[in-house]
Amino acid sequence: MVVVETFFTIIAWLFFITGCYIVFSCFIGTLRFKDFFVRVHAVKISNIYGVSFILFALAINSADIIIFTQLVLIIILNILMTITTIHAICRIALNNNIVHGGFSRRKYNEMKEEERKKEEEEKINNLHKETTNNL
Amino acid sequence: MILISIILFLIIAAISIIQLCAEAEFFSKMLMFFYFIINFTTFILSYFLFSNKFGFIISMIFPLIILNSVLILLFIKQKVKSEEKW
Repeated sequence: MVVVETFFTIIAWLFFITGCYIVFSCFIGTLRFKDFFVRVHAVKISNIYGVSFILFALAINSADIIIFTQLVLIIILNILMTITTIHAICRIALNNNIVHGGFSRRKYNEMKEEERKKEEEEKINNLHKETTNNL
Repeated sequence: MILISIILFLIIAAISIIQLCAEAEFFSKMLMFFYFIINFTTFILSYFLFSNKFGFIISMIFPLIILNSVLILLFIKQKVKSEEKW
């Protein structure tokens, strides 16, 4: 009996450490990545693998069949809900022309237009300076 | 084990809500909101496991998780509608 308990404890700690590593690394990725879709990927991995591993470790460690069943149900619901929500967010972002970098296409075009205007102004200023110097 | 998970999820939820306020784009905001709600829900879950109130509170956690996805979908739908009007 003691051997079985030790075995389950070791399994639970393995799941827990793996889950903690996944959650923590995905958290850093979510904060540091610039691209929208890469961040979506980090959030998805964190929710599907990290949270599920940690909850499964807690379920094994609980030693109560009711809590175990409830936690397994929560894991399944969490996975299904994460897949659905991430799919919806990505689909609507793609329909609204979100390009890489997280900007919408309209905002991207506006930024490009502003850059072009600034370059033109600089060119005009340079020409004006040259003409004044020549005079 | 439960205590470590409580601390981990609490820290992540706290920092993700700060990040949520700092985001500029709407879809990034929604993504961080989703991330915050998931971590906060898991934090509550592990806290009630820790305090042995798990069986009582479980009926509240399930609707909260489903409400999360519904809320995000509603926000996005509202945003898309307003964009179309604009």
